[in-house]
Amino acid sequence: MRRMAACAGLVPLLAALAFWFPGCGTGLSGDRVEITMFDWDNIELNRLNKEIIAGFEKTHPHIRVRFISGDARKRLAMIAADMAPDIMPLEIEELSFYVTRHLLAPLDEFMGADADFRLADYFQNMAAMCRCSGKLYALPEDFSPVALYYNKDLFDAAQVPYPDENCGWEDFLDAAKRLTRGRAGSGRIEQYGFVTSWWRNRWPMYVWQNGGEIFNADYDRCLMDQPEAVEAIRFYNDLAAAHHVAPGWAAQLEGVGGQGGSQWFVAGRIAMTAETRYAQTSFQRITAFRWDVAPLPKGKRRATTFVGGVAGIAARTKYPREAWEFLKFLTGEGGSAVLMRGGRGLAGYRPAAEKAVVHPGQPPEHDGVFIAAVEYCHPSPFLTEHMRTFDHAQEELNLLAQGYRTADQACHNFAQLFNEHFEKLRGEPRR
Amino acid sequence: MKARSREALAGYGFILPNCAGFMLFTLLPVGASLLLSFYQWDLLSWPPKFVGLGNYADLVRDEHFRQYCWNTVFMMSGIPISMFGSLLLAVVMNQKLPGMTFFKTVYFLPSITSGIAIYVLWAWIYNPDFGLMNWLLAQSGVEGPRWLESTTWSKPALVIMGIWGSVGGVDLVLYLAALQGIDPQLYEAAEMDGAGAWQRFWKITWPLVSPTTFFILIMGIIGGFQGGFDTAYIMTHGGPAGSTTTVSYYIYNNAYEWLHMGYAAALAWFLFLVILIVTLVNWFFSQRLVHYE
Repeated sequence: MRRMAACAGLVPLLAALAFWFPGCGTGLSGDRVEITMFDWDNIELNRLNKEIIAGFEKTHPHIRVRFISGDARKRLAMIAADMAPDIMPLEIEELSFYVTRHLLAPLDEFMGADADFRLADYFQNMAAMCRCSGKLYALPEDFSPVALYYNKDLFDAAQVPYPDENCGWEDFLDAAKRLTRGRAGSGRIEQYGFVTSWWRNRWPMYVWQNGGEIFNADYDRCLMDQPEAVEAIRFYNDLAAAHHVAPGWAAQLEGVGGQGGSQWFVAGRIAMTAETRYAQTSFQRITAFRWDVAPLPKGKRRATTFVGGVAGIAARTKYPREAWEFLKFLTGEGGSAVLMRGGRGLAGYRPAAEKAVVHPGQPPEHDGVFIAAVEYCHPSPFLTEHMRTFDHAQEELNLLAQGYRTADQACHNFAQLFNEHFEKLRGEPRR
Repeated sequence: MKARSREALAGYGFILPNCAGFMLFTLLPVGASLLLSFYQWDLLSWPPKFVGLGNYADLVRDEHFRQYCWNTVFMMSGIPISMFGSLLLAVVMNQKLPGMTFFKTVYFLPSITSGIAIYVLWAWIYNPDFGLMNWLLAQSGVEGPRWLESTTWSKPALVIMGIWGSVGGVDLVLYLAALQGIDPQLYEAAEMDGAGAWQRFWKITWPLVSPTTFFILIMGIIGGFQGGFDTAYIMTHGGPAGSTTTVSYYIYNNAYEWLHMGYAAALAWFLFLVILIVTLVNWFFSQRLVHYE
């Protein structure tokens, strides 16, 4: 009986121990401190992050970096539980949301006190996007503008000249038409010239290329109902709906076009696809055909979007100096070299990115177009704090792609949803 | 300490982890969500802003929410069909015929198959250009709809898929157990009295499986109100035009995608109230319609 009672006493004790979690940024024995780094859970990315950490710990023996991987919800839960990782990756669209909630430490002080650090080594327009209200809150880690990949063999077979920096919308459409082929007698298309994507990080670039804007400069009015935006959306939608040079909505739904249709490109069934440099990790396995990359066709002006992220330091870190040392390493020469070897788009650290795009004898021959595109690339204009409205507005474009709306209706409704939302928010501070 | 007291103490010690787990991970979050439903909170800002009944007022005005409620109810239209299918199948399976164990396994397969695999498979079946469904329809000279792409057909498509998955599932097992619990003498007596197959089913089988029918119905309705998340998340992302977004998927989006925690909590409590009322109504009618031996 006594033993039973002792067992019963142990059970809650063990249960309590099971719920014990070590906190972030813990002090270790001696002078060594531990900081935490969070990143998206991905086998390849985890491997790269661990390699970066190992490199850092070799040169900074007094700092231990604990790596935590997960998704956005895990990061959110950690922050809400006051266990924010010391180093956090962020999408550029999330930055203002985190800054206005005082979750990120401004970096200007660290920068000012660090003679070794040169912000000029980073892509300047990327670094500029990391500023909110004049203060720097993050450093560009890895990112990539969107460019036009093309299958050289399909272009040669159709006797279409390869796209280059002079290619405009009409040339692009003409090429896509000539590269779209049906299977004889079946009435079905077996090879498309292009693949569209209604992902938020793709379609806005056509609006910009046509001289339009999604929002005004004060970010309190949506301009999607303006003629330039409507015309761009109509052109983009017509590629699949009217000209049939791109797969329809069903393909989008199955993920074929969800991120630009890279799977179909690898399979040799798409002649051109708008993709980032991250896609090259899968494109490098292509052996069946030759391929290259060109700038996106220019409309009235040159524009593209980019994906990728920045990294910042948690405002409540216990070890800001150590976190800064690691952030510098992660986004600087040491970390960038590892990221570039792992095919992570372009490093925000310019020398590493410029070195990575030079690889004679290995495709793509014109990899440098990504560096050039940094000058005219824009982040997705849809900020985290407006995501609910965006998701409802995006449905209008989805309905257009499915044939339930005209471009005029979709763009008008899109703008109206956002403008009603801004009307409700009137008076609240925003970026 | 007396032996009896020590025994009582040990007993409390053993149930303490369970009670602590329930309090910590169920009761506390449920209570917190009720409190949260009166606040506007994005999880990261502090303190949350008190809005009183504002979230509930928004819910009443929210056109999207009305649409998603209708979607949820529509998706539940498959419940009586799948219940009927399960009962029919159970009656067939209850016959002493060779190979029934094999067929029981076959019909139960969708229940033990990973949901993700099933949804991906059905997404391909519903492909309007290359999918099996439209191919089959084309063989009969019918031009199939655009299924998951269509605001009209997306919900029926998911209902059909749901029926396929649930006819041979747990409901079938429950009905089989209920059928096997019926005293065969009742059927023999009815036969001697000249009752036909339909009369035997309607007068004996149906009343005696009614407690099982009631249980399946209640669980189906509760599950139906809470359902639709996985299909929306994996197959349709709630589209097209929100036509497959259910209340549970809307709660998830508000909480974790848009960080409107207070509004998500209000939606969850509204859903709870609806389920409670519908279950109470069911219980009320069950007194008259369900036959307990």
